[in-house]
Amino acid sequence: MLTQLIVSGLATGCLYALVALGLVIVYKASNVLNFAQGDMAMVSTFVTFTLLETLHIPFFWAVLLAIVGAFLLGALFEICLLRPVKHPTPLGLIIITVGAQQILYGVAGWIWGYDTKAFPSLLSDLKIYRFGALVISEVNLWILIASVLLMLALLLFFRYTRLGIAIRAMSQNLITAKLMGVSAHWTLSLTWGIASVLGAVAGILIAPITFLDPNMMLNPLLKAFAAATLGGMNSFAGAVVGGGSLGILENLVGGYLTPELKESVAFLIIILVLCVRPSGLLGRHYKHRV
Amino acid sequence: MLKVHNIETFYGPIRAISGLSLEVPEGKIVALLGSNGAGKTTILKTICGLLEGQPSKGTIEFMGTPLNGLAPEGIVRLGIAYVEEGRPVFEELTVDENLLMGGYVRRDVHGLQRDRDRVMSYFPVLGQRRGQLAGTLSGGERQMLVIGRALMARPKLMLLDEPSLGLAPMAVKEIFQILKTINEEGTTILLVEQNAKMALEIAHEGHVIEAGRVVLSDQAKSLLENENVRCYYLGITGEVSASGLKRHRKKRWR
Repeated sequence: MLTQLIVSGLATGCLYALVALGLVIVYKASNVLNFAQGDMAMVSTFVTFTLLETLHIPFFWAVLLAIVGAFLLGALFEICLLRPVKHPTPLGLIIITVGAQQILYGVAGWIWGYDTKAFPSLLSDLKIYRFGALVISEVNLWILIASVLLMLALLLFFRYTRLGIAIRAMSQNLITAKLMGVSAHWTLSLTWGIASVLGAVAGILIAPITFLDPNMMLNPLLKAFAAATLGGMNSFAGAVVGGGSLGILENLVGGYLTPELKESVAFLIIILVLCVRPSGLLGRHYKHRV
Repeated sequence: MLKVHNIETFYGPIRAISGLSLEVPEGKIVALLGSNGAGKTTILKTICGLLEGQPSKGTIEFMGTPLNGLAPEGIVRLGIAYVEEGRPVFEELTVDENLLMGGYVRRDVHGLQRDRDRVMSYFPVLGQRRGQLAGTLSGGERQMLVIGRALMARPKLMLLDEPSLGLAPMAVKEIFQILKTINEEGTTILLVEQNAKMALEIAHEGHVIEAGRVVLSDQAKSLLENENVRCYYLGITGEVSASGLKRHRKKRWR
C-alpha cells in the first residue's frame, strides 16, 4: 500500500516537476513568474490533439511536431510580449503573463470549445504492469520514464553545454554575461522555448488522465507553483525535488487521511514553506559580496 | 587602436563626460587617473556600449570600426574585453565554467584549452580551485578570475576598471605584475585606477580625468614626476607650512 501510493504519487509528482521546472527556468532567466505556463502547455496539448484527430498524423510524429510547436510558442511569447516592454518591472511582466494566459484560454476555447474531450493517447490508464507486489499503470510508467529522461537531458544541457552554461550565467548576472558576448535576447527566447516544451510534455502526458479542456492545466499549474515554492524558486533541483515530494505527499494524505484533503495539501505547503523557509528546500539567497 | 573622439555621455539630464578625446595605441598600457566621480568608469561603459543611446555626441572607433550604436555583445566580439569594477564573477558557476564563459565568443576548442592552461599558469590558485563555485573565492582570487575570464576571449584590447580596489597590497602587486606580462604578450590595456602609483608604474601613457574631461596627458614616467599629479593623486606633499601643516598646492591645470 505504502510503496504503491508512493510510486503513483511520484508519477503525478513528475508532472508537477516538469511544469515547475518550466516556471523555475523562466524565473531564473527573466525574473518573471509565468502564469501563462499552464495554458501554453494546454494549447500545445490541443495542437497534439488536432494533429492526431483531424490530420491523422502518427502518434510519435504528432508529439514531435507539437513539441517543436511548443518551443516556437514559448520563444514567440518572449519575443512578442515581453521583449517590447520598454522599462520592464517584475510586476508589469507578471501582469503581461496573466493577460497572455487569459488570451490563450480564450483562443483555445474559441478554436476547440469548452467541452471535455478524450485524448486519443496510445497509453492506457487501464493497462497495468506488475513489478512484484507493485502495480503501475501504463500511463504512469511512461510518465515516469519520459519525465526522468527529459530531466536528465535538461541536466546535461545546463551542466555541460556552452549554451546551457550561458543561460545560467545570464540568470546570475545579465550585464556581465552580455560582456562575455552572450546575446541576451536570443538566449532568453530560448529559455522560454525550453520552458514551454517542458509544459507541453507534461500536458501530453497528463491528458490521457484528465481529458482535454481549456481548464486542464489550471490545477497542475497551481501544484507546480507549490512545488517550485517548496523546492526553491531559484533551484532546478528544487523544482524536481519539490514536485516529486508534493506528488507523494498528496497521495499519502489522500490514501491514509481523506481524499477530500488531497487537493489542499499543496496550498498548505506553500503557506508553511513561506513561514518557515521562504527560500525553499534547496533555494539559496546568495549574499552578494562587494 | 582605440580612438575616442570628442564624446559626451549623459545620465538622464546629467552630463558625465563632456567632450572627451582619447587614444589608446596598440601594444601599450594606458592609465586613466582621476578622483571619484571624474567619469572614468563612465568612459569604459560608454566604450563597451553598456549605456544605451550613449555617447550622445562624438565617435568611438576600434581598429577602424565605429562602435557607436553597437550592442555590448557585438562590441565584445570585435576583440574588446571589459573587466568590470567590483569583480563580478558568476557566483553559482564553477571557476572552470566562469573561464569557459570568458571564451564564449570563440569556437576553437583546442585554443580555448590552451588559453585556460595559460590563465592557470598566470594564476596558479585558480587551477587549484577549478571545480569550486566562484562565489566561494576570496576578493583577490575573484579579481584573478575576472581577469583570467577576460583573457579567455583572447582580446586585442582589455579595459580594466579598478582591479586593485579593496585588495591586500601583496595581491595588488601580483595582479599588476601579471597585467604587465599580459601586455608584453601583445594585449593592449586601458586601465582605470585610483591607485595612481601602481598604475603609472606599469603604464606607458597616462591621462588625468576631471569632471568628464582629460585635463592632462603625458608619458607615465613624466606624470609620476608631475607636481600636480604627485600632490593630488600620489599624495606626496612637498611643502610644509610654518606651523607644520601639510599644504596643498593650487591646481594649475584648470
